[in-house]
Amino acid sequence: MEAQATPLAAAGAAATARGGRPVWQSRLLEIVSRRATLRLWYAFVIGFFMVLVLLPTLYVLGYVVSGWQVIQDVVLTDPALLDPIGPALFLSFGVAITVAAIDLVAGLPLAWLLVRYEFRGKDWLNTLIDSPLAVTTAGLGFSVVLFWGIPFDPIAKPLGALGITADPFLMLMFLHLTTTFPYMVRSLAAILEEIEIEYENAARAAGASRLTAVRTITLPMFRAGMATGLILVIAKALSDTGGAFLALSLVNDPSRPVWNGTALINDWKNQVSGNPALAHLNQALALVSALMIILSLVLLVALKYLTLKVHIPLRRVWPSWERRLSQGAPPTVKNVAAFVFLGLMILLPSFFFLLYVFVGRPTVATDWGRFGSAVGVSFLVGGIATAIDLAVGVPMALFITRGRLRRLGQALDALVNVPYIVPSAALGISLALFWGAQRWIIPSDLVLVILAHVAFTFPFVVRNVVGALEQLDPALEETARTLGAKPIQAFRRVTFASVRPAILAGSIMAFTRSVGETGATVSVVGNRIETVPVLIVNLIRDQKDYYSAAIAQIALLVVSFAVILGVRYAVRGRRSHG
Amino acid sequence: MAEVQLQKITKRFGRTTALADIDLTISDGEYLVVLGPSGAGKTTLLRTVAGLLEPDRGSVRMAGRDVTRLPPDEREVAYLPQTYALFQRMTVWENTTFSPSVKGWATRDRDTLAREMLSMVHLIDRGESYPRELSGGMQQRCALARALAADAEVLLLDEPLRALDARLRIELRSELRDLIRHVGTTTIHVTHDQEEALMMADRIAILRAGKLLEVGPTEAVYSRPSTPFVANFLGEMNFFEAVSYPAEGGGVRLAAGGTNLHAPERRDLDGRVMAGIRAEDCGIMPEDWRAGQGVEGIVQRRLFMGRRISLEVRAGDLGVLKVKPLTAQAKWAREGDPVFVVLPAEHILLFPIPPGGIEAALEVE
Repeated sequence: MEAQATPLAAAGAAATARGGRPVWQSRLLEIVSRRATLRLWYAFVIGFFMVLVLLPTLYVLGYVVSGWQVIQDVVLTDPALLDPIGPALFLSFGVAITVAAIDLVAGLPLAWLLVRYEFRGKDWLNTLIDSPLAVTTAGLGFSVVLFWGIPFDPIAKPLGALGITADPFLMLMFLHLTTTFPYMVRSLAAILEEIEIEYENAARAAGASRLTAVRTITLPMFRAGMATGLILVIAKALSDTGGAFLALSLVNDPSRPVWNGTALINDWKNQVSGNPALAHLNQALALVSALMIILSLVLLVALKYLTLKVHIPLRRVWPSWERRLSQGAPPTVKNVAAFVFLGLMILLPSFFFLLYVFVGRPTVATDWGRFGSAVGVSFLVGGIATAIDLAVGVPMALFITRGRLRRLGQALDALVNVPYIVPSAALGISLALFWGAQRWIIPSDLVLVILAHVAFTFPFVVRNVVGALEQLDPALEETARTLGAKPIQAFRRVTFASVRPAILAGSIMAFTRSVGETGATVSVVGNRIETVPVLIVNLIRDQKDYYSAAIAQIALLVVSFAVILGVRYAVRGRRSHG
Repeated sequence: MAEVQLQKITKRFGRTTALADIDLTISDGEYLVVLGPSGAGKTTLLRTVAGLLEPDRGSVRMAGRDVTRLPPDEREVAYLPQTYALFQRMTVWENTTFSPSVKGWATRDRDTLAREMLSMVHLIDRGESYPRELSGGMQQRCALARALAADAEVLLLDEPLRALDARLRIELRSELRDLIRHVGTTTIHVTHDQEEALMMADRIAILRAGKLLEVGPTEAVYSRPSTPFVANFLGEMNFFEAVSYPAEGGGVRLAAGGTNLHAPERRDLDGRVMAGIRAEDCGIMPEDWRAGQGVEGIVQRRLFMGRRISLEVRAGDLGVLKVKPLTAQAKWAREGDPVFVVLPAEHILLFPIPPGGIEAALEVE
């Protein structure tokens, strides 16, 4: 071709003068871009998930089946072990389902307000709704009892404490409303954002009252959000150990304690780890854990089926009633009720412990060294677990959304939820059994705790990143590829920039969940490793040192906020530089 | 620059065959437009050339090299998807230098090329802007600059003008065409817009339900289409069955209903044929003027379209004829008027009778 004074000639000249990149870089790029390298990496990620996350999580099921004879001899014949199991399971599942139903009814009007209305202080309302998540569930357990409960051993009460019940069911219900409500509002609001208001407007233009339009048009489009919300809430309520254990131990009569599933696991595990002579409790622990895992999986599959497949016959319309309910006082009453619920049932009980600082006295001098090392352990575990979640979870999300093996991707997409749905205390028991059964590698206590935390925080990163990747136009990556980008370059330069907020959100969720977790830590290693929530539980249970516990909770709150704000700031700062 | 050869390309998605035995050669520096209705397999074809899809059978060759199994980044193609896929978090400049950067060019060469491309598409002053700050037309040009800056041998354009307003779309046709002709890259452009195809293509290929119906120079395909489908897709046609006889002095004589018409000869056809004429090629006059060959009829429907008028004329045994004369020549025609429709011999096209009937032969899906 002739050399002309055209851009073509310039392009040709540029093409011959390549060499802007050092040789070793090109070489490295070429190696990581080979299909074999990619396959190897995916294989590693999937293997990691299967062997180090999923298998240990479900190991206890196989353990119970294969060791059934022993369990029969040790547990089923001993009323002291067998009798608490049934009521505990009933308490766990009964409370979880009740709380999910209340959350749904109370959460809808608030989600609605947040999405469909613009008003001053909306950001504040958003933050307020999320704020209980910043308190560990152990802290919430103490706080809720302080507000609603009648403790067995009297505690100095701040002004305003209601002190109306010592019933375990009600206590747990009040507790789990505070631990789960933000999840419900978030899920409902997320789906509501996606639903175009035009549908509702069209129905109203066709003569439907607002209530009729919402009920017949918008709500049915909403099932996915309800399903997600219900599953998140139930999983969280079933999983919580620290809060349930603390709340129950504060109201329990020590001679006749009532536990739910996770608190029972926590109690027995504490006994075993303090006294090797009680080793037979391990069989009971395995049985309770297996039952909780099976029941929670069954419940959640059933729930998914019910919300997505079963049609609620609500086609009928009552025009005059619904019109009357859509105007004037009823909507206002509904909104006021939603705010009263938020204030009285969620915010006040969640942060009531702050007031304890004014009325309480330390029973023993606060051991700051112990607190400092607990913070260190919490952050070390949370940090490493989150880092592993990212390193393995992001590639796994890529495999699920972009991989060539669609079937395997879909299967992984479903399986990744298992460690989240399974109660973390049961997961911890399973994990400890799995590693205890290995002859050749027995990881240290710290590694075990980190592995357990990876298992139940892993889904947060994967879920968030999968969601973001599904929203992303695949044409972006494809175009980048045809423009000459290797897969890793296309990811780093194009995809990553778009999913970075989701990665950040996922890591913050994973990290805060890890820092607030009690059950998994205790059920893996007993009291040998003390994170802050474990410390809070221990302070209250062993020393009745409510004051130090409250201080520890406040300090953790401050440090966590600082860390999260710091991460946010760092990420945003880099973003503005391009 | 390179010649692109597609040999026996077949691609299935489940049960549907998206591409069936496609053989197509695009010569070096040629601008080929693939025209077809939506769902014909146009995008699949483009993605196969780009390396984003692997064909089930057949091969893709570029400059004689078999690239069928190569990933997109090793193919020297630049693909411009319908949505442009501009990288939203990069500026116009970063978008344009994307390809040279990932290929590891020296900074100086990269910058020279990017500047050249951006001035060519008149965006050199907007280098710091983000794509969302650009108008639709600018986004389109930015995507083009990015594609050209890839210094690729083959440019693949998927409905490049589709996302634009009608007016801009028409303006950008010639601009886009000139730019690419200037650079001289081999180009495959797919569209469902026949006007766009006719205006921009060196050669045109017609795709229908995964099959390649016809390939050829634009004007030849337009004036001598090989099937009723192609004829109709390139411009609205009237079809009627006729019997053809050899005529004295060349050409054929057609007996259609009660009318006798002359038409150019088609050697391979004899006896019963499907005759067709484009709506725009028909003339119209008041019934009592009548000049040349044609049929009488009554205007049933009149739609004013600006430069042209669209008429539907009931013409006895030939059925309803669509006629689109220039407004200046036909503004007198009213619904209910008796008229004479002129069917000039040189515009009549002859086809074999389609086995499944003319409706099926024209169906788009």
